[in-house]
Amino acid sequence: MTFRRRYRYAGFRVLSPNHLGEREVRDVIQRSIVELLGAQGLSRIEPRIIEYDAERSVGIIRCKHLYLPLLRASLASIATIGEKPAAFLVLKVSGSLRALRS
Amino acid sequence: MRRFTDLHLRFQGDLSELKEMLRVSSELGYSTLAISFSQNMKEEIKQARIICSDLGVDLATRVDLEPKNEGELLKALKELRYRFEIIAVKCLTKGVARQAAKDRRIDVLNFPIDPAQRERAYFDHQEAVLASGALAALEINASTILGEGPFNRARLLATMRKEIAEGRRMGVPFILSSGAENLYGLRSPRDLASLLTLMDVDWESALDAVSEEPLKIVERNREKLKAEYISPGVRVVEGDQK
Repeated sequence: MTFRRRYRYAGFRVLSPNHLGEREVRDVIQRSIVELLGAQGLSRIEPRIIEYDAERSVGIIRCKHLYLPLLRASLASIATIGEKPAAFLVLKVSGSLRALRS
Repeated sequence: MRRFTDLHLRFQGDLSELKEMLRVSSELGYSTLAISFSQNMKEEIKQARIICSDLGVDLATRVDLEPKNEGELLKALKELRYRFEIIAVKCLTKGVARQAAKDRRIDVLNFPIDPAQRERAYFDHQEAVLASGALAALEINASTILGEGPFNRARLLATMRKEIAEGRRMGVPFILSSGAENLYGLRSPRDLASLLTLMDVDWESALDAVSEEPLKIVERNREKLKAEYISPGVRVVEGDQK
């Protein structure tokens, strides 16, 4: 039996009138998870931004595989960043980075 | 394979913005989209049909009614039922809610999010009993959840959780729509479904709420709007069709 942690990788796109940096995107996602699910939710999901292209506003985020719906719900519930409207759209989900990038 | 459907995009009068919304929705995987128009927008509906056919998306026309009383609702239904594929009613009073729940011409029931209005009309047990005997589905708009701050959102989620549970107990279908007014209100179908998991809905039922259930409403109404339709199970058959 293996105790290897299983993750899901989600490719996402940010719609916002402003260009956001990786740190801003990470903060917004973490804040959204805490607002929706609390600190316990954040600790369970273990979100981590693997990469983010600020030019194209697309990135890849990793989470624990059991908590993917909660990550999706947290991303979906982001409606504003600062005072500006925004949306996080999950485009594709995969169990491996290689498959996601292909 | 699931055919994802968003039954509620709101048209705000800007065709270029609508075109962009439809393009992004199509990229997100929706195959059927319903746009809410006001009653006299014939030209806009025509334009929207052209945009959708270019994108390869199926368009359903929708009208949202906000009647003040039962009489107003019945009058509007008589006028509009044969002009729009989806009829949604925002139930602002208990009388309207009761009439809407039992009327088989209504497809979608909407309830206000304002707490003061919620005290007057909400999806209670009696409403669910009436709706179970008719055809209306309970609609949850993601835009109402997203537009609120954390405390109001928590209260809203609790109310919606109760309403969905009541509806499921009585066999009333529920659907989840984006309710998007602009690009920023759009979400992918699975993202929308994930919001339902916050209301204790299992993943498969949540996916049904953004695919099978709304699609059933569109198909049922298209069947009804055909010239040969008489009543449920009865239609005109001619010549070789016999």
